Amino acid sequence: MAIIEVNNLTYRYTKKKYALKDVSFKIERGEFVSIVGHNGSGKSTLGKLLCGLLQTKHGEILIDGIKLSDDTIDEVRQKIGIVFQNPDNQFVGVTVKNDIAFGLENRNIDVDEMEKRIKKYATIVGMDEFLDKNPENLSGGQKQRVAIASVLAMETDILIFDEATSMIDPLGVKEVTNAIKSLKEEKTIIYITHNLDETLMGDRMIVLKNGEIVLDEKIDNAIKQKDILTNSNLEPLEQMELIELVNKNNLNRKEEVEKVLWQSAYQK
Amino acid sequence: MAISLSKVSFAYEKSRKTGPLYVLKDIDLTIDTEKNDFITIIGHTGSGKSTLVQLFNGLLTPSSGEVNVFNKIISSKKKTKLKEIRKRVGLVFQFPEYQLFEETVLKDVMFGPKNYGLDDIENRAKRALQSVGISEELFNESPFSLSGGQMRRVAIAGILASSPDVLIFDEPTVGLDPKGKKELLDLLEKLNKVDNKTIIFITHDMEVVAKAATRVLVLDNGNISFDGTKDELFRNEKIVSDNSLILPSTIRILKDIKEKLNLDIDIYKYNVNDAYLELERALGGQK
Ligand SMILES: Nc1ncnc2c1ncn2[C@@H]1O[C@H](COP(=O)(O)OP(=O)(O)OP(=O)(O)O)[C@@H](O)[C@H]1O
Ligand SMILES: Nc1ncnc2c1ncn2[C@@H]1O[C@H](COP(=O)(O)OP(=O)(O)OP(=O)(O)O)[C@@H](O)[C@H]1O
Ligand SMILES: [Mg+2]
Ligand SMILES: [Mg+2]
Repeated sequence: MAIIEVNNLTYRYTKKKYALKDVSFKIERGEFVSIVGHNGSGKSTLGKLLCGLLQTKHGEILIDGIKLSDDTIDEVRQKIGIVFQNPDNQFVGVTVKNDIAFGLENRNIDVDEMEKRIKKYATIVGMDEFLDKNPENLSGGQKQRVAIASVLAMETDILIFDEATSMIDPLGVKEVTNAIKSLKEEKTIIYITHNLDETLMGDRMIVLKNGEIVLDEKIDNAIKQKDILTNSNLEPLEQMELIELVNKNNLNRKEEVEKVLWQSAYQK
Repeated sequence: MAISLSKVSFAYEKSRKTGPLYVLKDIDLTIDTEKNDFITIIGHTGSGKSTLVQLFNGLLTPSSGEVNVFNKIISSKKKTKLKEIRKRVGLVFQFPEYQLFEETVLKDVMFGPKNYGLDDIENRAKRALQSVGISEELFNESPFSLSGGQMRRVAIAGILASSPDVLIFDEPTVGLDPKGKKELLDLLEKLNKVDNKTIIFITHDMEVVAKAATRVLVLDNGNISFDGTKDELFRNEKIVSDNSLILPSTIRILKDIKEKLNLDIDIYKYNVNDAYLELERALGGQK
C-alpha cells in the first residue's frame, strides 16, 4: 500500500485562480520524491494540504491508508512533518532547545527521551552548540538547521522539506541531507526545491506547472526532459547540456566523456 | 566615493565572563564605488555575512571601529543622519518578509521612492515590479498572500524602485525559480555595467560567483579570509578547501574529465559554452 495517495486534488485560495488543479499521485514507503516547478506553481500549497494545514473538499488525500479529514487530522499529524519555506513561521520556543522540545511535549514524550532526541537532532544539523540561543537571533542558515531539527525530532515516517535547505552552504546541505538519509528508520521524503542538482539525491521527480503535474518520473529519466523542465522555468543540468553539445558535434572520445559527465552529475 | 570600514568589530551579545561575543573582528575593508564592482560575499552558515552588510548602510552600528559611507561616519561614538545614506545604499534582507508591510504589492514598492522624496513614484514602482517578473494582476494583492518566490521578487523591486547607487542583496536568489534567478542576474549585471551601480551580493551559489563577480569576499568566522577576483579564488585550492567552498559546476566537471580521461585541460571556465570549447580543443576536435 502506498504511504501517500492523492486523488484529484484541487485547491483555490480565491475564486480567481487555481493553486492546484486535479493533482493525483502515489508515493511508496521509503521513496524520496523531489517536487520542482516555477514560483507560484503550487508546491507549498501541496505540502500544506498533505499535512492538513490546508483543507479542501475537492479531491482526497490518504496517508498510510487513512483518509485526511477533521476527524483523522490528529492521527495523520503523528505520521507527517513539514519544514516550512520560511523557518520564522515555525519557531515557537524562546530557545533552540525549547523549540525542538515543543513538538515533543505535545506528544507526551517523557523527559529522558526528550533530552536524548534534542541532543541527537541538534547534532545532526550541526546546532548542538546553540541550544540556549533564541532562534530569532540566529543567522539564516542556522535558523533553517534548527527548523529541520525540530521536525526531525518528532520522528514521523513522512518528512516534507519545503525549500528547507535553501540558505545553507552547499557542503552543509550535503551533510544535513546525508544525515537525514542515513537515519536508520525508513523515511519517506518529499523534497521541494529549485535546485536540480539536489533532486539527484532522490528517486523520483514531480514537476508542477500552474498547479498541474506536467511530469512525474524516475529521476534518471526526469532530468533528461529538457523541454518540460525549461518550460517550467527550470534549467537543465550543465552536465546534460555538455552531453548534448558533445554528441551534436560528434566529438572524439564522446562515449568516454559522456560517461564521466553522468558520473559527475551524480557524485555531488 | 567609497564605503570603508576601519578596525570594525561587532557583537550582538555580551557574555558576563568573557565580554562581548564578537561575530565580526577587526575588519578593514574598502569598497570603492567608482570601480563599479559586482562584489559577491560568500562563506559558511553563521560566518557573519548578513551582519557585515548591515554595517554598510547603518542598519547596525559597529561595536568598535568606524564605518565611513560616502564621507559620513557611523560609529558607536557618533550619531549620523541615516536617511541620506540609505537612499544611496539600498539593502534587500535575507528574509523578504522582514521588508514587506504594506497592504498591497504596489504600495509596498512605492514606499521607498516616496520616503526618499523621489518623483513619479507609481511609475517607478511599476517598472521595478515588471523588471522582476511580477505581473499587473498581482499589484493589488496583499504581499502576504504571495508564494515565497513572488514575495522575494517584490522585496527586490522595493529596492530597485529607489535606484540607489549601491545595491546590497542578501541571498536574493533563494526561493527564485532558475529562470527568475537568471533574469535577476542579467538585470543586476545590466545595472552594474550600464548604469554603473555597485552591486554587493551575498550568496551560497557558486554559479552566481562564476557568472557575475568581479570581486569576491570570503568570510570565515567573523574575518575576511579572502578578497580578490574569482580566478584568484578558484585557482587557489588551499583557500577553496580551507573555507569549505565548492567550485562552480563547470570547473568541477572539467576537473573530473581532466583527471579521469587524463587530458590537458584548462579547467577554469565559467560557463557551459566556454567549457565545451575547451573540451573540443583538448580532444582534438570532432570525429
Ligand atoms: N495565502 C494565500 N492567499 C492567496 N493566494 C495564495 C496564498 N498563498 C499562495 N497563493 C497563491 O497560490 C499560488 C501557489 O502558491 P504556492 O505558495 O503553492 O507556490 P510555490 O510553488 O510554493 O511557489 P514558490 O516557488 O514561489 O514558493 C500562487 O499563485 C500564489 O500567489
Ligand atoms: N540578532 C542577533 N542576535 C544575536 N546573535 C546573532 C544575531 N544575528 C546573528 N547572530 C549571530 O551572529 C553570527 C553571524 O550571523 P550572520 O547572520 O551575520 O551570519 P551569515 O554569514 O549571514 O549566515 P547565513 O549564511 O546562515 O545567513 C551567527 O553566529 C549568528 O548566530
Ligand atoms: Mg513555496
Ligand atoms: Mg545571512
